[in-house]
Amino acid sequence: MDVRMNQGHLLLAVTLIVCNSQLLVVANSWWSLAMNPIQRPEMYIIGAQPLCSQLTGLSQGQRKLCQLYQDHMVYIGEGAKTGIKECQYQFRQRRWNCSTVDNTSVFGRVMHIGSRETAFTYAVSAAGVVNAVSRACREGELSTCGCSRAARPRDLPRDWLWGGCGDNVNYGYRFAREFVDAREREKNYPRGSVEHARTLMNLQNNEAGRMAVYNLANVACKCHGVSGSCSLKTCWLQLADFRRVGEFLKEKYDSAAAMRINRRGKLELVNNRFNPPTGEDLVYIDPSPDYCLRNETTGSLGTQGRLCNKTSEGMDGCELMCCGRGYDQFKTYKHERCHCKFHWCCYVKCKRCTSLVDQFVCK
Amino acid sequence: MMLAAFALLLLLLGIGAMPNGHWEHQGTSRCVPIPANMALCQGLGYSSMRMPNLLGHESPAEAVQQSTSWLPLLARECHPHARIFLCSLFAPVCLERIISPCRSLCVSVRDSCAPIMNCYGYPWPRILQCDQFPKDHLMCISSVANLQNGTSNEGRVVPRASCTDCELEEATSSKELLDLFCKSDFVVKVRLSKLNSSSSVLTMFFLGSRLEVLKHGPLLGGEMRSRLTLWLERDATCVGNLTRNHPNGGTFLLTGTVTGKRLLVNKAFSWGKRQRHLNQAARKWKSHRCRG
Repeated sequence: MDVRMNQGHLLLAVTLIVCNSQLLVVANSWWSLAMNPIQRPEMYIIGAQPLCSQLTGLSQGQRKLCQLYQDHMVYIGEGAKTGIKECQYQFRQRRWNCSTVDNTSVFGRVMHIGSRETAFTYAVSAAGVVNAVSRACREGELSTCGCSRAARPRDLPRDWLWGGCGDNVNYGYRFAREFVDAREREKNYPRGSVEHARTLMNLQNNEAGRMAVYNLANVACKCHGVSGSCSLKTCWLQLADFRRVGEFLKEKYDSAAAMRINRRGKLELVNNRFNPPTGEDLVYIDPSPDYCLRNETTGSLGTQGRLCNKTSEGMDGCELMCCGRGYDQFKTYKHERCHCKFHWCCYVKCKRCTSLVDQFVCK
Repeated sequence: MMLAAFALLLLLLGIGAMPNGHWEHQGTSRCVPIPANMALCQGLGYSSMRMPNLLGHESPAEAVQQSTSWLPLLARECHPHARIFLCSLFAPVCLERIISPCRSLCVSVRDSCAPIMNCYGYPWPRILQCDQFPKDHLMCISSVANLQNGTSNEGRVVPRASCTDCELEEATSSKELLDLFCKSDFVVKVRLSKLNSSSSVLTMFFLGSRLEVLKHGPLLGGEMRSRLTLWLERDATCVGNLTRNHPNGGTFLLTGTVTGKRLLVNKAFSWGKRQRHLNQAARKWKSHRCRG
């Protein structure tokens, strides 16, 4: 009798704790560092503990890393911002266009769906962190890293020098893995559960984003010598332009693999006729919503009011963008600078051109 | 009412949708003051530059270090806009978009300055290849015509490129010649003959077999011929100046300086039958004592 009563109370308590944890997990994301830029890294030296604890969106493990690597936090925020901007560029002509909803959850409830869009977002954000930290190392901004120590490529011509200060992609990759994956590694969901599947999905997509930056880094060279002759050439490792990373991951998004979790707690292909994904591929576990209508449950903002292209048959075309609901047509005046001319010395003077253009908006 | 609201929304969306940053270099570019020790680019009319610059230099210190090697060339004043051209790359003006030199400016500077560089043994560098720059449009730094309005080089003619401005001189007195001999590192009488074959366009003349060396200077006996041959190959402008009125060649008295392993002809005289002063000076030189 007493034993049964105790069990009931314990179960209720556990349930409340789990629900509470769920809510906490749901609300926050380290992407919020992009929305609340850290203005002065020097402040961390004065009051290290309180500022890390005050940062919203960090998991417990991430908060510990914040205390250990205070000077890195600015660049994690910059990296997240880079990732978000690239996401908004790559999806600018899509129904879901990577809009940010608020400063805390950033993208809102759409990230709860284990969709391809979520996969891309996790990957490009992790890539942004690798990018920002690698560059900060090279620029001497971080105390625990410096120039790249990558080995000389075997196919570099013998008379070219390998040196200079390269982007430290190796360090950026390793730090991003520790920080971004910390949130996932803290979770202890039952093996084979939906939550466990989502954790594995996030880890895979984070890794794909990091590997994209790592693999796309290339050799850059510079001519030295008197009067800029190429008598002496120095080469070093350099990050690729982040647009290239974004384009690479967008292709991975288009070919992302649908997965489900098996009884052994591993992700497996839904359709085993396809090749299993490599470490560089994006994976998803849920189908995407159509993003046509505003839906508070899915977090979809809908396409009402979105600009569309009447003459396009792609996703940015009015038929697809508006989901067949139709569109309104307006004439509006477009003002832009034109006939710009550089004058010595030194300014650019432009004229102002006005044109009447048609614009189409989804109903 | 609704129409106006939508119009406003469209304008806002339009503004927000405008792409930006497409002209940015990889990584963030920034404006920095032109360093005081960047002698190449002082006093051009602007004081801040874009970094990284258009040559890929990442820091002002790097740009300064690489720009110093160009100062000797500019001292020769090979082109009135050479500095503007070089500084548009080393210290590009910092505006909302990248302003590069126009191709015409590059070609004009290269055609005037490349022969000078060639005199010192340097080819026109790969990083300044002119075909990388845009054909003239409104948003690049254009050639002489446009720049004349804003600079103090008004009315100045683009100079003919010349290593040392070597020209044929008129001998006015044997005394003057003897003074020149004393000041020069070398004095030599040569015969230049035109090559029969037209295989090599640049080198159109070759040295006659007999060299009459009046003054060796720092050159040893056997070195004179090889140095003159090198000069003949490299200093096309000077050779062109000497032979302008002697298209088939002739006999010349050459005077000049020796710098390291290079010989530079500064003044030359055409040796003809009626050159009384040259003959007198050559005879007197044998017993002449130069004053300290």
